[in-house]
Amino acid sequence: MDVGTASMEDCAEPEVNAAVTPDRRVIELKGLVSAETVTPVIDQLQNAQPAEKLLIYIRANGGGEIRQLVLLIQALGTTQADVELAIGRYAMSAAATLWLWFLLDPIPGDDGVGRVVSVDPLKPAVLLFHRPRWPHASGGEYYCFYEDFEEESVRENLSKQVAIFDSLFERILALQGFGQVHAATVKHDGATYKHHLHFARDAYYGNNDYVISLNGVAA
Amino acid sequence: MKSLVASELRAKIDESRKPNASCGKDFTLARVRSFQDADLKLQEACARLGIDKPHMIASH
Repeated sequence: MDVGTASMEDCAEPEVNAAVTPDRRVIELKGLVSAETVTPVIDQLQNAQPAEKLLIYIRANGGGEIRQLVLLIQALGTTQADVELAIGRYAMSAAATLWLWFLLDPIPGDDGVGRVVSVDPLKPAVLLFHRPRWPHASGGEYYCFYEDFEEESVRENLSKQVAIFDSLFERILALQGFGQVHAATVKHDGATYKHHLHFARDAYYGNNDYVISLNGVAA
Repeated sequence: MKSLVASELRAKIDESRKPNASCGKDFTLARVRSFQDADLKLQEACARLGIDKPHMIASH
C-alpha cells in the first residue's frame, strides 16, 4: 500500500483520477481486496482524527475477498474521518462494489466527521460488477455460485449474504430507469431487440459480468 | 452500452430518497451486521456438517 499526498499536475493521465484538494491524504487500495491490502486502510480509518481528510484511491483493483470488503465497509461506517472514495481507470468486483456502495448510500457526516462519499472520476472509468462467487478449494480455475451448494443450511445463509449484492445491483438498474422500460424486447424488421438493461439483468443473474462505463468529469 | 455519469446518478439517488429513510451510516452498518450474522450462522452450519466454510469472493 502506498500513502502519499496527491498532486494534480496537468498531464494526460492524472496521478489520481479524481479532484483531490491538497489537504486530503491519499491512501491507495491497489491490486486486490485482501487482508494484506485492507488491514492497513482499516487501521488508518480507525486511527484518523475527527474530520481528517482522506481519499481512498481504488487503483487498478481486480477485487477479492468479500469478508475483507465488508470489514472495510464497516470501518468506513464507523470512522471519524472525512473520506472520499475514488477509482482509477477500472475497478472490478469487490473493488467496484466498494465505490458503488458509497455512491448509492453516502454518509453525510457531521461537519466532516464521519463523512464517506464516492467521488466522480476525472477521466472515464469502467466498473465490473457480478454476483459473489466461490472458488474451488484447490485453486482459482473453478468456481460456483450460492445456488450450487447442496446443503440447504449452507445455501440459506449464503443467499442472505448475496441478497445484499443483489440489492445494490437492482438499485443501479432502477437508477437507469429499469422500472420505466415498457418492454424487455421489441420486434422490428424480422429481428427481436432486447433492452440493454434487460441484457444487464440477464448477465448478472446468469452469473456473468455486468460492465458499467462511467464518464469522466474532466473536459 | 451507455456511459453513466456519477453525478447524474447521485442526483437521482437524492431525488428518490424518502424523507424518513435511514441515513447512509445506519443503513451501511445494518447491512454489515446482516452479512456478519449470516456468516456466523454459516460457520455454525458448516461445523455441524463437518465441512470447510466456503470462501466468498468477487474478483477477476
